[in-house]
Amino acid sequence: MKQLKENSNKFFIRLLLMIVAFVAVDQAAGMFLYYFFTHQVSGEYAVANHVVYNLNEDVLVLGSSRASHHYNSSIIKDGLHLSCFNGGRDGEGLLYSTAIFELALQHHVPKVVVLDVTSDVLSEKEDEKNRLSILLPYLKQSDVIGNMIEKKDRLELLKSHLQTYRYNGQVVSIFQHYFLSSGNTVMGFNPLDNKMDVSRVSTHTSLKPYSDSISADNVNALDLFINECKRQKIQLFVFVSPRYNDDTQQNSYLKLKSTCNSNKVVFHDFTNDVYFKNPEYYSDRAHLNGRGADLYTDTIVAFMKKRLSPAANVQYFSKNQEPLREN
Amino acid sequence: MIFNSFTFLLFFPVVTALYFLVPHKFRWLLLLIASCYFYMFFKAIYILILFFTIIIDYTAGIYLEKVSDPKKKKLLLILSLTANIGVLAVFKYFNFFNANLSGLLYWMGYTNPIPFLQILLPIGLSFHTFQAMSYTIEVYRGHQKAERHFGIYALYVMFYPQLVAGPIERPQNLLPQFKTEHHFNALDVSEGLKRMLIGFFKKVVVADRLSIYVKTVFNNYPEHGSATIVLASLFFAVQIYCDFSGYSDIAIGSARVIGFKLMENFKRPYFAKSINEFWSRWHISLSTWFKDYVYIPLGGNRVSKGRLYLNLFAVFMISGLWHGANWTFIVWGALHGFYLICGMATQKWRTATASKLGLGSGVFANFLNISFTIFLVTISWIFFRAVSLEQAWGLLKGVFIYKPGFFIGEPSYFLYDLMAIAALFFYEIKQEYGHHSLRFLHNENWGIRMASYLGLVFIILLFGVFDGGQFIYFQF
Repeated sequence: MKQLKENSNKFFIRLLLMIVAFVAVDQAAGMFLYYFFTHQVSGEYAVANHVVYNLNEDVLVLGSSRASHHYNSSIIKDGLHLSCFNGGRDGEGLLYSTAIFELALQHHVPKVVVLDVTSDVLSEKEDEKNRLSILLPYLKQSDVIGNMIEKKDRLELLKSHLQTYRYNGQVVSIFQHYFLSSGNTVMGFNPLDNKMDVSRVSTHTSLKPYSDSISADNVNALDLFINECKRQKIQLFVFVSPRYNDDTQQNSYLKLKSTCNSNKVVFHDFTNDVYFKNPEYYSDRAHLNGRGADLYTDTIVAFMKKRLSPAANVQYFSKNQEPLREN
Repeated sequence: MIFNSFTFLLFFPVVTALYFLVPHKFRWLLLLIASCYFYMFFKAIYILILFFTIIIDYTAGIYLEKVSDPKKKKLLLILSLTANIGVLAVFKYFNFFNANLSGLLYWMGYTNPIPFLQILLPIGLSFHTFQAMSYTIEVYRGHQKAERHFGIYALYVMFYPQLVAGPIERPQNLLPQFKTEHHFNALDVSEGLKRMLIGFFKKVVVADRLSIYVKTVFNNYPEHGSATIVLASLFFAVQIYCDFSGYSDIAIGSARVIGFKLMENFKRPYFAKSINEFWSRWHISLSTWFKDYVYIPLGGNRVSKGRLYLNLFAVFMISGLWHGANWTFIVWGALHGFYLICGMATQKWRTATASKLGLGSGVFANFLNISFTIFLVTISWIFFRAVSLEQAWGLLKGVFIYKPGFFIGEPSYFLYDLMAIAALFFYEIKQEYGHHSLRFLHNENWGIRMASYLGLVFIILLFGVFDGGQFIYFQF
């Protein structure tokens, strides 16, 4: 019995020491990883870090991979005479865009924001919430991030007390993008090189018209996004960029249009624009290639020029002498 | 509740602490309540199915012991087995057979009037049903006394560590352990925790990481080249092993912490030199279940060669069906039966040829045998993973009819996959060949041991996939 008690005491002392060591190593590793994380020179997080920590551009583009691949920041800069940064990110939806926009607003207010969306942007999609873990490294920047992450799982915030957990699945990528500059983004714009193989593109859609259910979280995120723009006097453009085959017969699309209209937000859908039906402009069914992206950016620059508010236009006026009037 | 959830990380220490605090006479109750809570996390109402089979088998057990007439005993056993198989038939196989009947009737020009059931398959149904069946069979055979304590019998079926994915225990091993008073034992606790840690590593760092690549390729196989499909198939072989053996490790480890010793379920199956050996290393609790309760009653090895082959084939077909109500699982089982029969039929010829070629034994011969076994098993896994025979056939064509192209996906994720497999290989090869150098978790130096635990925890935290979802075997 005495031996058992001694063994137990030894076990609990060692367990306690291990817990202490775990907490210490976790904190140290967290600080170490945070440094490398915030100093990445390329990759998707380098783009996000620019938006979160260093944004000073006039125009900010946000959205999914379609934003990242479709909006050439240089063309927007030259066309509008406003500096531009593209903060789009592969695989991310409205929740991510709203969160990162909130972080950007903490230190800089852009004049114009372009939000690229898909027709199902407000539809319920489970995997969209699952991907919100990528915001964990920004947790201490704002409460908004915590609120967003809680949408994934109530316990996710509890897990995030572990500093190392915040960088789960990113270690190799962090060091790769810290030590090696790879990728070809220009002010966040990431053009795609290839041309779509039309023979492999399915024209079939299995979606039943208007069968999607609306996500309350996504609707709230859109409201928050629009309200922030109103509050900060940012001119917001919401675009559905071209897609080779798309189905806009979704409840999400109707809700998106009605929300933009009721808030007087400029909304334009390029899905059915005949100019972009040429397969030569596409990398795949959902993404324009570099050539298509340049043509598309030219189109939206012309579109935006006609609609820029005087506040956003101030720099444009000074360089072009004559204020623009809406047709 | 799943082991790789944060909820389990809260549930487990609370239940363990309470187990040691509560007096022995109430521990069965604590474990039963904890097991009910664990199971009800999936779909609470389905606990009624469990209670149904528990009541039937508990009652059958008592009467099997009381009744002396062999005919009545047999009838009781049949009633109990029918109730268990009936539950399986309704919840797992009804829609499958009905769909096949529909197909047949359609082919004959008729319409099937029988409606499909709108029900979800209860988690781990095949596991706890088989465990319950082993109890009544053992009582019938007189190898096990009927359990009079209803709560303890219920716990035998519901013991949370192995409730939803095994190991499928035998009453002789598990029932007495509920009656033994387990004192806090530092060695059991540390060995159990180590085993759990290894299980978590296998599940979240290896299986769920590899599943990302496997899912991407298998779900879009017509787009991928042959090398990619071969690699994805090999990755799936590792994924399913780590997913299932990882679960078993966590189950065995969590039971060990409170002093219970569950049977081993895996013994490094990819080091097997033949399919026969593979089945003595893979899902041991199921293989031995089929051996004891199906294969041996059919005559075992003491029958003619033709009958032996037929029995083997039948056992593996049933094993395939046990895994899932889909033709892909039946073909998977049939393939293994076919492999075994071919192996037995060609045994003499293969041994003689190998000797002539100087490949009878030695490292190179072992390497060839292991590689060929992995090849055969991986081919069968394609059927196991495919959602339909059509997809399996498409994947096989992708493997054997060359198509160029190699897909890596996200490079950092691909690197994680390779690192995870390398770490697993290092761990398993040490276990298989018993090298005692470079010991980490079992080092005699406590400092090295502690650093190894911490290292493994941080590897899991940094490289694991935490939203990888359920274990593959839960669906069975």
